[in-house]
Amino acid sequence: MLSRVAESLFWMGRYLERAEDIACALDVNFHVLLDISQAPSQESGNSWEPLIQVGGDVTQFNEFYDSCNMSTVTDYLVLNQDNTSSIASCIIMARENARGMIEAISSEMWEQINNLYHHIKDATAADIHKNPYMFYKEVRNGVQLFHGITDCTLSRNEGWDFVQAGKYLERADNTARLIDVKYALLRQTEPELMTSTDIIQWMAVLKSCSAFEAFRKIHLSRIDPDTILHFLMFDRDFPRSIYFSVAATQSAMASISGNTDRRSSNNVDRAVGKLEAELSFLTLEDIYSQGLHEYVSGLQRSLAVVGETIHQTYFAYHAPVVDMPEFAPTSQKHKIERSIWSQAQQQQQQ
Amino acid sequence: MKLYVEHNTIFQYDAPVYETATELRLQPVDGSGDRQRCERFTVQVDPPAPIFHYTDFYNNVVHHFNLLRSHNQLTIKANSVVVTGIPSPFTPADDILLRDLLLETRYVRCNDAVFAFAEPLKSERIDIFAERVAGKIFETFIYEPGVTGVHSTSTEVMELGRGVCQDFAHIMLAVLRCHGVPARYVSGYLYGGPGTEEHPRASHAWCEVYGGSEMGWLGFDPTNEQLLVDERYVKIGSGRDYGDVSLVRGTFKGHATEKLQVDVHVRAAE
Repeated sequence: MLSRVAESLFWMGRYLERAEDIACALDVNFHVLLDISQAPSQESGNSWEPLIQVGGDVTQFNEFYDSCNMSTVTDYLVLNQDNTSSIASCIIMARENARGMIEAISSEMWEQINNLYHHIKDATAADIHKNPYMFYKEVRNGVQLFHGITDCTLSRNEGWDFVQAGKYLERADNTARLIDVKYALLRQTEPELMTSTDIIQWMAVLKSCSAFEAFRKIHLSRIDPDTILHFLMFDRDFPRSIYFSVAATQSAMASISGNTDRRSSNNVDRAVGKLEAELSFLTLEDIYSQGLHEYVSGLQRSLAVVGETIHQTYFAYHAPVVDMPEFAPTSQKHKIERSIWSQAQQQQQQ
Repeated sequence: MKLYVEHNTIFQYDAPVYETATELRLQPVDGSGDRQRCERFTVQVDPPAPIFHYTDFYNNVVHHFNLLRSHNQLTIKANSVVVTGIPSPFTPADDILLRDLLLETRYVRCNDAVFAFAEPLKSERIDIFAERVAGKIFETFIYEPGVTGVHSTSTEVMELGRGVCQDFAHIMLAVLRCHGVPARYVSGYLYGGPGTEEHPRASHAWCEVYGGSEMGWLGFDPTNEQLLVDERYVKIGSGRDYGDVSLVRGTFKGHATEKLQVDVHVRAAE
């Protein structure tokens, strides 16, 4: 497989996952505000700002907007194409990647990614605010349908593994960001003193990872921050937990490198394997002893290193190191600008 | 006439580039109606890379290679020894190819100006018509390097009234094709005569016209006063236009400014 095609498959999976995660977070936030009896459009600051920390760049947001409320945050995270992580940017870039290697994916996959693109391309702020539930649902359903089509129509070869690696690496990163932001915000209340509003907020954390029902099937009694953290970090069966996502990334990368029996490793196998081993033996006490924020920041850095190592090992292994642009772990290094140039030709002019 | 051709191409980059893929159409044709024999052809690239070759639809031999590792410079040296002016058996061209050679292409564009240009020169005989067209192009257009580029079209050259051999060949193809005469673009070298060996030269281009199954392919050079292609001409290959026979072309990755330098030397055997 060409490294260019592998890179496109990886980033296609990654961008679509990011679009889904952002749609989910916005959807949940909107409905939490309704649950705690606040009009989402009037609520300002407190409940919208964390979403920018999860899904975007606070500095960039402040450059574009004067205030932080439902309409500015929605615009920034959904429609603003200057934000490379907005839903629109993610879907546009996923489609650009798909278009450049259209022969490597099935036509059904292409049609679905194109549907999503046309859906988001024509969306306006008015459409979203008129019916946010439907809008976010369509984005999430669209991405999930894409993954379903991929499962049904794409051969289980390296290409499929690159899509999975992109998807799960992004998912692990997203869950880590969510934990980081939400715990800093909600941890201030002692568990014994939690009010019903706090409980709704904690439920929202689970719902932002579509984890509420899966969690309740295992933990039937109280909604307790430690149990939630344990579930989102370490659960071995829930497909959006960090452990599950890292292990899925590991298995995808291992089947690409042929290192399924763990006998010989390349740098990617080592980076992601180290992370998987750490997560399988870590306890909450270990995390608290070094501070949750410190631990989760370190985890995000490790995930970025995995992404960078995949780039170096599979996509740019011929590229001279001096030629690399700035370390940008969450977006593609050179997709938007042209990366392949034609050699000059000499006129026949004797 | 036995001719030695040295063709050196150097790409220089101000920053490292990588994953270069290059195609060469530098090997002179051998036999089958082309009145020449290619006795020897070698091509070397530096940094070294394995070189593969295949024959394309227009019967040109294409060498190609990839350089994956990063590099700042790419040198391509091609050497050939060709004996020209020898009779060789001719096989009539097939219909599909001829139909291909009547169409407009990226560089060869037909329009009213092109049609009108040759209207008074019409003749029953294709060879006479083609020679008149070549003659009129030679008289009408001014040879001037630098005013046109490698991707100039015949329409642009028509308006400018000046250009180089590549442009004149495209004009001639446009004129002939819009009057229903199949003609092809030929890439090659021209030996300039004794005493010219030291001057670095560029490659040359001219046209071949299909004169029917009896006359076969006839070479005309609208850039030189003599008009008829003779044994000083070394033919590399042919196609619908420059795009089919571009000598060196390819792609690379990386962010660098490219500098291209080409040296061609043609000398005759003692």
